[in-house]
Amino acid sequence: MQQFGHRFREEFEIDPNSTVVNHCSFGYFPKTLVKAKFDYMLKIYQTPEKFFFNEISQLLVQSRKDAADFLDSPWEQTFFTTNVTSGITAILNYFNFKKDDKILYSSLNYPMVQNNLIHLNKKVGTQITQIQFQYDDLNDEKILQIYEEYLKEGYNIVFLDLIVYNPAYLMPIKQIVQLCRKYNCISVVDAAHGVGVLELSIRDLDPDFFMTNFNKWGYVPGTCTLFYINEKFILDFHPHLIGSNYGLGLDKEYEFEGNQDRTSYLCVSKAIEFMKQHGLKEIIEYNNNIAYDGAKKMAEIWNTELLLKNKQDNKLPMVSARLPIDDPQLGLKLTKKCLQDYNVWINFRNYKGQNWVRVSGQIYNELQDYEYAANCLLKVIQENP
Amino acid sequence: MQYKQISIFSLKNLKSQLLMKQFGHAFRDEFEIDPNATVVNHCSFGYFPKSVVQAKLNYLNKMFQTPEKFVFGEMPQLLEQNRKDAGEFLDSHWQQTFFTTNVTSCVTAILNYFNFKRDDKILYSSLNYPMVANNLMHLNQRVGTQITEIQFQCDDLNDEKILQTYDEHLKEGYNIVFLDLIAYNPVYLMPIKKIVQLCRKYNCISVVDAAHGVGVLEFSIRDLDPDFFMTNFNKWGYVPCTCTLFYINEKFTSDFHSHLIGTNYKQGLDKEYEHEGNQDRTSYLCVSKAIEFMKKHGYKEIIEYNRNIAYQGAVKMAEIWKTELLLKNKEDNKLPMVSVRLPIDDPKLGLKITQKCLQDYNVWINFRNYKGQNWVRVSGQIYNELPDYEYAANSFLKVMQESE
Repeated sequence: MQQFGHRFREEFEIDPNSTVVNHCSFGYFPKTLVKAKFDYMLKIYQTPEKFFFNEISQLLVQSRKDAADFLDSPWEQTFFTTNVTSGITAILNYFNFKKDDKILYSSLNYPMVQNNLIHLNKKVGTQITQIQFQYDDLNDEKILQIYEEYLKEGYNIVFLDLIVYNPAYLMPIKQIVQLCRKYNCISVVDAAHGVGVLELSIRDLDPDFFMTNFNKWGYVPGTCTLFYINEKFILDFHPHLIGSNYGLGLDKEYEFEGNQDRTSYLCVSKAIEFMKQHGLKEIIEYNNNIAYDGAKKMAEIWNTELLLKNKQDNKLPMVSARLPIDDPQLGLKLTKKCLQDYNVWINFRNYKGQNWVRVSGQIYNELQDYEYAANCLLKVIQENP
Repeated sequence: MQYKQISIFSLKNLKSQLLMKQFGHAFRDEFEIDPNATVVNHCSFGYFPKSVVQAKLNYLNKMFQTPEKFVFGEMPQLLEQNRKDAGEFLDSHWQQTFFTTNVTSCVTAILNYFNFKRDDKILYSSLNYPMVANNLMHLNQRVGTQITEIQFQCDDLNDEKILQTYDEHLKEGYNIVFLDLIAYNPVYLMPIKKIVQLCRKYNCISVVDAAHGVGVLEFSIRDLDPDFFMTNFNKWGYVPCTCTLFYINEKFTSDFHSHLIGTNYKQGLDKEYEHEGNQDRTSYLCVSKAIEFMKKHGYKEIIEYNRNIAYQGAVKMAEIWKTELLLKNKEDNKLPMVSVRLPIDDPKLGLKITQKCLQDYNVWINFRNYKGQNWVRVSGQIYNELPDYEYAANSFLKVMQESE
């Protein structure tokens, strides 16, 4: 626990002039992991054939096994793919939904998921229903009640979040997935924020599909999405891209989804090692604490408030604090100026008319970071009346 | 202090001599190539100048250290500049020219756009890259769209026969045809401009897969005027993987979408291609530098050297193996890739031997079985010299002997 904090910044690739209170939009990575990735990249550039024919398949399998072990999922159903968007695309392709099919999602889903469903509705006419969650609804009891009401009407598939990206909220996902089973609805769990945030067991959750990004909280540089596919679907599932390994089985198809840089996937084992070395429980505890304390400090400085009032309710390294500006356009203009002038990025989203900052906590953070961030925004506000 | 007088004339002479001299083994130092490897297959994966690799790693470092500043600040302008430079280099309208992950993504986006149904007809050929054929088979299986594959024999590989064949097929009426600029193996430069003209004549949409394109030929997309055109900068264009240039005719840009629907959906194709989901786009930012590299060493000079050394190398390999070239005459070989017949007919045995050759002698001989014959695609690049091909051919023979 003592090692965490500013002195830990040295272990990470972070610009010394930056202050980071938004770890998870893009992720920040241990130097050892970045070096591992660059080493793989150079190997590919210098001896591509040897690497592709001899090493990469085994390394990929090992990464899959280590990731599956870490997230308690059968490795044969666990693949790496480019990003969650690719996972969503592959799922929609597989089911090939038609006009009469019904898809359920919510106002909390990441915009990319919503866009895919809107596009499908436009192209094919598939019925899409969006649950509107108000702020008052953001408690487990209410959420479950709402999902039950909808799911009992009968839907083919539902797109769920493990963790709502903004405002940050940890969904009662296990119970929602159980409701899906009860009402015979396919469950897709978008856990973009997942690994590195909670101790997870995919087996225990038992969803139909599950995707989590190793490059957000999982210390893997670049892009690396883990994609779990329930065995019911494996046989005739395909990646979002049909490539030269088409028809050779999902292992082979995901081994080569078209020409791309897969070196991030090869760094997963090392990232898991990093998390074990420092203790996943310890990392989680530190991150959750510093995120809450930091967000609370920012809300104090801004005279605003937190979405979650009690520290005990906070189970995440992301805490929503209300921005002292109500207008999203002005908010964006000022946070961008803050980035430019003070080297700190304050990430917010406008949800149902209010601007919520997603304050992140990570093992290189300390309270001063959040004080600095909050004060810089106030300065920018003053400088731009 | 005294300075030696050097005339302008002799300086220019010296410069051009230096330029000529640099290609060949002396040039390997400029490239990221394992010193123990012999390379006669430049283009499956590509090999890259150290300066461009360094540029990519620098961008990646920036991405890791200051992601927000980079993504919100520099990146959009860099992306646009690279698109403009690529558009200019390939003579295409930059507003219709985008970067995407790979050719597979483009093919996917095109098929998504047209949303072909049961009665639609798609034309392709046995020369297309397997990925293209797979996409069409998958579509046929899922939707029932009719797909027709032209079977080209090795004997058909001449411009006249190819054009005649396409004319016969296209006049029957197809919605779309998937074409290669360069058939990947066996290697053949297709009479693409004329085929695209036939497409216009018969009202068929033309998709030109020019995966092998930039860095191989001088060409103009404006002049070719296809409906869709894709070329990889990471094969012959000196950009570390992956980087595909995707040209979309303006008829389609207003409601076209990337193969991935992302957060920038409906904000216009510029914005959609700026963020096709979370991925590493640093290769796209290296295109200007790669173009600079090609101009500095002379694009014409590079093309000429590559073409020559590929041919000479292939002739040497055929000699050593006692086999032959697909295209016998030098004038017919217009590419830095030349097909030479492997001295083994069985593709499984051929694969086993070439893999052993890679393992034991550090040289990869890339072949494809086409219509019952194994053709090696011999590549030429500015770091190659004849001994590379001699070594490759001899190593292969050694492995053959050792495996008996």
